[in-house]
Amino acid sequence: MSEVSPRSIEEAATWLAELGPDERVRIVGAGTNQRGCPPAARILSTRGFDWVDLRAGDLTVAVGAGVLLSELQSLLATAGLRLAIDPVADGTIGGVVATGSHGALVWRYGTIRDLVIGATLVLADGTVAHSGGHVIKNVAGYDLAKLVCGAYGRLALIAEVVLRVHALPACEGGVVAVVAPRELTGVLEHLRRARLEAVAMDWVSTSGELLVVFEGTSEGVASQARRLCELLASDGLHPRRVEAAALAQLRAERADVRAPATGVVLRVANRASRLLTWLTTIGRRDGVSVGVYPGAGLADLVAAGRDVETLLELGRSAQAAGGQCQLRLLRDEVTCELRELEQSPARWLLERVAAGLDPGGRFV
Amino acid sequence: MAEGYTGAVGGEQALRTFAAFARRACGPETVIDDLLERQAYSCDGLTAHRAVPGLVFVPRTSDELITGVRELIRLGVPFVARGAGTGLSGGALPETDGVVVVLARLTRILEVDPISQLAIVEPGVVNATLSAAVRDHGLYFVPDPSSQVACTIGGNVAENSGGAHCFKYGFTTNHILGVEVLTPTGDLVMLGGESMDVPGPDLRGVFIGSEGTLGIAVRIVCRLMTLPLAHRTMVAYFADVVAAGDAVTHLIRAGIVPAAIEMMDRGAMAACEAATGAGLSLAWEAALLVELDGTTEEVQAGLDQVRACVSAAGAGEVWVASTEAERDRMWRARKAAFAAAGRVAPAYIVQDGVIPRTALARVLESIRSIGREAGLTILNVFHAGDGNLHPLVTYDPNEPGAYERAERAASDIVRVCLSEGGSLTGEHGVGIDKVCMMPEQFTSDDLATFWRLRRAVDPAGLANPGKLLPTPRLCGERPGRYVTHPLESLGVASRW
Repeated sequence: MSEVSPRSIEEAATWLAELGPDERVRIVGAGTNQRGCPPAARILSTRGFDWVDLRAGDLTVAVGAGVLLSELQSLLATAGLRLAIDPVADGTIGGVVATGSHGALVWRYGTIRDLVIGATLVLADGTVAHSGGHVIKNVAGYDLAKLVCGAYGRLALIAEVVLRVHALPACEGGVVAVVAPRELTGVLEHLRRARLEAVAMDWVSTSGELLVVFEGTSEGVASQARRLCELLASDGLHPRRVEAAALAQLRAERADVRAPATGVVLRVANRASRLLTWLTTIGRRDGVSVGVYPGAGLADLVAAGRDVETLLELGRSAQAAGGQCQLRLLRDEVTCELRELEQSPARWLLERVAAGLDPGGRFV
Repeated sequence: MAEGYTGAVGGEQALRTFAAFARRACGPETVIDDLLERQAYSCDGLTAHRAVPGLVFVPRTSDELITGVRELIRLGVPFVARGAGTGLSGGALPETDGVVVVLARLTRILEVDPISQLAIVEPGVVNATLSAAVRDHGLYFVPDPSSQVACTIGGNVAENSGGAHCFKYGFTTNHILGVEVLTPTGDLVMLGGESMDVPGPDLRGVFIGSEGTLGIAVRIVCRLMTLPLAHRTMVAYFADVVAAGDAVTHLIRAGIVPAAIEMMDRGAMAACEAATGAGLSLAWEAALLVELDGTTEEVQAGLDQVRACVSAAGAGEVWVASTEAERDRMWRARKAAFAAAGRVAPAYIVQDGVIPRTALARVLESIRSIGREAGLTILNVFHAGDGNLHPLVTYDPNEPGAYERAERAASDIVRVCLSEGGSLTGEHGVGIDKVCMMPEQFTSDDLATFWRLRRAVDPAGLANPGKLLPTPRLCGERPGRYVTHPLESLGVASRW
């Protein structure tokens, strides 16, 4: 299959404008979270969109869609800055936006949709559209940058995004404790009542450990971690403090759980209280690991092998409890039954919007 | 490419049909057709634009809202949703042949879930009421526009409102998990959900800030944040507005993230002080109000850093609030600014523009020049951390030509913002006020794309037509500013 990799927005726009009416296009970045490609589609790689325009004083950065998140983070770090998301796998910035990526920092900073403040899009007919820009506050026009978050390239080509960046924290540290699913609600209550400002919470079924991360001054991090340890100990748990140096290892272990080399990840989203109640009902399942961002109401059900029957059953029970499901990190084509879990109540409206922006259904 | 809608609308007969339907289906008290009563809805906070709506519909329940709006859609009658009417861009300006749908009676907080840190509310819930209702759970709703004691959460969603404390925590869009929307085709759809992320394109993010053009919020899922353990608030005074602008840049570069950084110039301080007696020193040209929040340790360390930063930038005097009462006084002064401007001049235009923060000092200098050249006093009070300016261009309406000069000056200020890569509006919205300036910020392709999105959601063009996106008809035949006739003031004559 022929692949094009335009070096500029204009080049991409011209290429799209000149395509025949029946030609289909699949947009690809680094292929991290890519769905199977329809056989007849042309491939448009974003890797030629490789520019970065950092405005450190404004805490904004304009990034070509083909830049890797890891490359961007390295560059930002030299200026004492970061993009405040920590997805479990690398990928292009365009891919991060198109798949709505995030990690445990979702609790404090939200997902990529909360950090995107501008976008340059190329529509299927080659029209170039901008929204937002290098200002963090802006309500002029429709927020097209949000529209393409999580759209998997269906609505438009993301050529460039402007992102809000944050200063790297002076210090970070955490608390780890083995916590049963039924005890997670109690931890959330402790954090709220003690008014502790955790930036990340992450529980994985493989170890049964909850990791809570704090950021700020060394005194502030230490006092919050100490207080949380006291509260968890009062519940009979056995928390331990984690210094900054040890956090990287913990995060890497958790990334391995959430993003296995093979298999399927089913994301479940539900109101936090309902998600945690549902979690207590599912028990341990062979071949399926679970990673939960408890306060955020998000769980990843990870089937490392090709047997997806259990995943299907869990997905259906999550839906029955009010949750929404989405397949992520697809390494292989999966069964139709699993795809049926991806029912969005807004699908009909999305189809209307897609028909407005891409009436010929070019982007697939 | 001609934009806009060409579809026919309902007309007088359709309005009468709707009135009869609403009285029957929702009750007689949901319909306002008396001329004098309708006049009360002829404008929002932007009083320079007025139009008397053909009819006003005031549902008491969401079922009545849905029933009524579906009938409007069936009849092809344009509708304009309205919350508390505090908007400053004319977003709730009625259509004379349409219906204003007032959401102010839909005031129920339907559910509070402290574990999930969310509340589900009807659109007419007042912003400050929600924070008060969840305070006992140690939670609050972050967006805090200056009008928060009156403005509604539905209005905040429509405008993607900001507020003083959004610098650290984000704007309305960052604090709304989901919205159930009654679309302009009469369908109910949940956009977003009740978690921090839901699958699919972020239509919720597009709806928030769409100024009532993509439908009406029926139910809103608000994210709540933990009340900070501690606050420290200070006012730093500067001999020069530009120096205060520089101080903001220094603060940001130092990696400090205050909960709020607000700026006032001398004129604004004088007005606020006269209105509130808060204790602001009037010996200086500019002041920064900086608030830190978080744990006690974080706040104390941050305060030391801020003091060092503002001193390095030339702060002449620093007032640190030592009690909650002092902090309240500082905020009362800042939040009174728009109302207090009335003490300085009989009339003023509130401008709302955004610039990249690093351009702050340069833009403030330009605003000073614009005021000087126009012979008008411009008060500056704004969210400095966000680069969101609110210059108050004062004028005397009795002076011939003064309003026109003020309007020109206000537009020139926005053009300065745009020339710096900024935006027409940071939180007040485009509404009717800036609709004809949209081509100055966006290309024709950008606007055509916005239209494609809008038509996909509202094919008949019924939801708040004439707002947000320019049309040749709208911007070519825009009516002049509303001026009260002396006989109207005396109550002896009515224009309509």
